[in-house]
Amino acid sequence: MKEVSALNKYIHALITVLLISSTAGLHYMSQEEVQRPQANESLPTFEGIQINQENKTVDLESMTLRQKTAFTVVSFNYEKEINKNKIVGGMHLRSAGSKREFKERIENNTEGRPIPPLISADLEGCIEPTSSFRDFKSFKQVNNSQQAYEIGKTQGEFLSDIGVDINFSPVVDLNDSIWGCRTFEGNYSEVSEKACSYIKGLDEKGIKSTAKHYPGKTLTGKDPHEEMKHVEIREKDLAAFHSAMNCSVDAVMPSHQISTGKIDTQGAPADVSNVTRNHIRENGFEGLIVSDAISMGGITHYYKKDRNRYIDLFQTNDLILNLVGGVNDTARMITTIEKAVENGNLEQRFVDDSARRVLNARGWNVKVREGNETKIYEAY
Amino acid sequence: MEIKRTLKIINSFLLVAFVLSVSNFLQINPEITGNFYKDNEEASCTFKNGDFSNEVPVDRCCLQASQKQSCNKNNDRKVCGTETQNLSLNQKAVNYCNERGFSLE
Repeated sequence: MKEVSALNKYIHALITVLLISSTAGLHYMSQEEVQRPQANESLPTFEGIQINQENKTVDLESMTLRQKTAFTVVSFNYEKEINKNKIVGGMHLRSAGSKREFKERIENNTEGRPIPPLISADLEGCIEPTSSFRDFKSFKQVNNSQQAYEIGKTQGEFLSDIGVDINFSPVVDLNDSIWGCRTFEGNYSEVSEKACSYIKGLDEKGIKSTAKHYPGKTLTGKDPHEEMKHVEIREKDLAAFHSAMNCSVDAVMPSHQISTGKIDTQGAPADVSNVTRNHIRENGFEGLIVSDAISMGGITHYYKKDRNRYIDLFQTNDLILNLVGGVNDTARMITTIEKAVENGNLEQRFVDDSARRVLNARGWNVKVREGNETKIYEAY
Repeated sequence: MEIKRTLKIINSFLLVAFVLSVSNFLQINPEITGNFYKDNEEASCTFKNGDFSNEVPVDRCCLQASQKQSCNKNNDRKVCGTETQNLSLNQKAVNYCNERGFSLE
């Protein structure tokens, strides 16, 4: 039996150490760089925020980064009631069986909070959350601007009555070959006119509107759920969005599609593209930019890491629709954004700007310090 | 000799672990990892609205279906909505929605 030479032993030991360290290293690198929810982690409280309830003014400087971030995330109405001291940024309504049920659900989540959440709904006249007890005329059935105005008023009245702040409607894509009921009929000029009238109808009842899904062509084509969807945008696809912005629409929702042509998102989904944000803002739009639901494959397939998806979403949008996962998932997202700002991966101005816009949309004046000056951004 | 043999065996195991870790990192899921199974069924979601019926993108279907008040089991499909307006998903589409976090109650 031959003795193992010292050199052989050394080589084996070296290979072993290398393999163990590289395996461990690769395992670490493949982990999501997203903060895992800790047992004691949850939504931030209102503690320390300077709120003047009399003139409905809130001081942005008195908020922590975590508090500001919390105001920009919308989740489904939570199954369990959240402590009234916690910040719930926004709440999106699931379907309910009656008007009363809607009202109770909203009241349970808004009453008692110093700043109530922004309440949103998808009432488009098609596939609506009220379908088990009330139908509204679909956009496809709207023949002219007067009818669009009337349906806007009717929906606005209902939403206002139950306590909704913002409706993620109208869809101003020019065609809907998927659902067959979510867009107005006609050419881009007719769609623009009807959309403006509808927005006016909602506005008269105090309900904010959302033109979606920017820059268009979202409700056409094949199923993109396993891959990214690419569309070519023409001038006329954008016309209804520009028209809606001129008609004082309150929000614009970008899509998860990668677009070329008039809006070239440079290979990224529209709702994580700086091109999108810049284009919308360059058109003078100062309202909210609202993401589509961020768990859809159209965007999740684009990212390997949730952290990068969250960062890019916060760079493009003011309001983030995180419609899955409940409180823990929202808390995890907030922590991830907090860390990204602290580590220099996301500029804080994006969070500040979004929080200010969301609070304005929620009906609060926001006090902001800009250099040596203090400025009040008024609610709308 | 025994030590050399033992080290060889350990190194072989480590090598396999290393290859699997690299393939996992590069998101290559070969059959031997157990992640692969043959399934020819496509995820499917059908939207019905009165007389209108259409196959709709599963992603959008998940979002719309999760907003519905309730879903019922109907044969091998899950139907969300009312009798006149609903979304009907096969099991693969239901799994896809659940994987994405959209709960279909």
